[in-house]
Amino acid sequence: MTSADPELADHRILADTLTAERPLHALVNALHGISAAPVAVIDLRGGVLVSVPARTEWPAEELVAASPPTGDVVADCVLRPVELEGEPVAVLCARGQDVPPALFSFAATLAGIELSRRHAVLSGRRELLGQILEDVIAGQSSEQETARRLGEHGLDAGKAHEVVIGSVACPPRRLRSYPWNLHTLLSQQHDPHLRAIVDDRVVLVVPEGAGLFVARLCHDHLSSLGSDARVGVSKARVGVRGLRLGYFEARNALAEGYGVHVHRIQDLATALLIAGIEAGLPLRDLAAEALAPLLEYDQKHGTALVDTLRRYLAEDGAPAATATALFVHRNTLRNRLRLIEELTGRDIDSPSSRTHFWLATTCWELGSTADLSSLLDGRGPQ
Amino acid sequence: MTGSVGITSDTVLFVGGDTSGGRAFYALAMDHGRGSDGPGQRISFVSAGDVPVPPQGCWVPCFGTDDHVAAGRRALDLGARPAGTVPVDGRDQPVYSAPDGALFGLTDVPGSRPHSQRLGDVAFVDLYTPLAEEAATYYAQTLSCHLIDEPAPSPGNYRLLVSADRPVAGVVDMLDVLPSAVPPHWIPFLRVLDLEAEVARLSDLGARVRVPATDSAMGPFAVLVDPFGVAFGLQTPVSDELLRTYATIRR
Repeated sequence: MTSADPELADHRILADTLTAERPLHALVNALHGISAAPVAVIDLRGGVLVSVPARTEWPAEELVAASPPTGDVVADCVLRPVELEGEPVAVLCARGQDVPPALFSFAATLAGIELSRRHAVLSGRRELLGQILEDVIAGQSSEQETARRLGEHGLDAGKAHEVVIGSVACPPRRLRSYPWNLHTLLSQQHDPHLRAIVDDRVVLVVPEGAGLFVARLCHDHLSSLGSDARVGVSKARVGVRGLRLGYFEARNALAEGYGVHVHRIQDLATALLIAGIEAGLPLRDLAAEALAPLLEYDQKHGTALVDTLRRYLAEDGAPAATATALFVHRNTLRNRLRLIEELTGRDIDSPSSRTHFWLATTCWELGSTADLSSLLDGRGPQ
Repeated sequence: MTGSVGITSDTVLFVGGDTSGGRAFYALAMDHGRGSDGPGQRISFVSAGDVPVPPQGCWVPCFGTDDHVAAGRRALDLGARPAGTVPVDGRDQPVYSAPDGALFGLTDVPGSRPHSQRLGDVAFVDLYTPLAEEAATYYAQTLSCHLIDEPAPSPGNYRLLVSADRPVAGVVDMLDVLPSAVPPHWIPFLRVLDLEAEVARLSDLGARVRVPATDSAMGPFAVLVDPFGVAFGLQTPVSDELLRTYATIRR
């Protein structure tokens, strides 16, 4: 044996832990066995995933605050980042400085490999669940069959649930790769709450009463991924049809804007509109047809006719309230409304036109500017 | 001794802090926000009143006795201080500050209530204190319990308070597991079936894991910190059995 052999043997001991029944526990245990130092893996929220000895008290918040670690000693601990898909998700900590640095870095790499492996399994489950939820939303399979498939993912459709939907301005891949809860990976369970990505939005199905609580946590998570995090919560609903309606309610609440919003019963019309869009009804075509002349005019002249129309309808056609909301003089508002009527050829105060414009502006507000832009030959807002 | 009725840990108060947030979290954590009446240890969320508690709140166990006035006198005679009152079910509940500074209450609970075995309930309470020996002796005398020192071999020092062959509370030498700067505090342990799954579920609800699921002489357990910074524990029915065994065999 050469002098380098013991170190090689230690590397081998660590590598072999990946084939153990509980690899991360075995890895931390082995590192502790080699160094005699207390060792732990701590997630970036300061939660201890594995610790040997188990009851070691770790200054978790202080250690996590130093993440990603720079190599310095923090609170008498050495640290290495544990990465999942190239992003730090945890820290490997050892008390004292008795662990050989190269071996310690190797252990952190192994920990990342193990977490990535488990995350891939969980992501696969979420993909399958996402497909089931897409079928629920589209109403494409029977109530009984869908309930059975949801049951395989741990959801009892016979009980009341709330739907939570979150969106954030970040690449969809990041939304999918984000490890929501490393403890779930260790327990090799399903997500504690049904969680999937549908149309680049996070969809959670939680027991009745948990929606708002989970929504706030979801908002915190999403805010760490990007800007404009928004989360919508449905009412509690029973059954697969209830889940479907809950999805549209949560989507509707999501459209309220930044932050956490709960569906209100008076928003049913908008929820139905979203359901219509999702069901493939040509509501966006209607929106495009109604709004095309206004969008074109806005783009050419830098005006805000669409926004003015939307606000006018939101204020139930009250000129004073609309002018106040838009911070414009009443005469300015009157001129804009007259222009809208000229451009569209419609009497803005007739009931049929109001319904038409309400559908158009609400579809417009609900998003998918890309779709509308394609209908308008690129004339929609960018 | 107070006779055959014995002392029970009746109610665990969550005093101060964000009571609405805490109530929401623990309702989900214990999964019995509805229909939770019945025998067993309850959690009541109460405002701090004039009781000095940390900003995030703290747990205060209330021990049921057949004569809480006499027990209260003993508590004070043995060195506790009145810490004020908190509103519980429309009545002012006196709270005592034990000599080590940890808070506890005394209530009247005549008769022997059946011990709850329900999942999600508080299964047991442990006191974490740097003055473990003194504190254990204090509670044993105040509550007329007897004390079992080290009921089972364990890495740390553990003492069990027992009344009428039933475990009442545990006392942990905090210096074995926590820095001395941490004030003495009580931790309730919720009864769960699948420890690791529950750790994952509660972590999903915003709890932070301080001691991951691990085995011990008292059975498997985990310690978490709720989203507001207050520690609580989880244990399984295995611990119920072990505690009962230790309480009856190791006299």
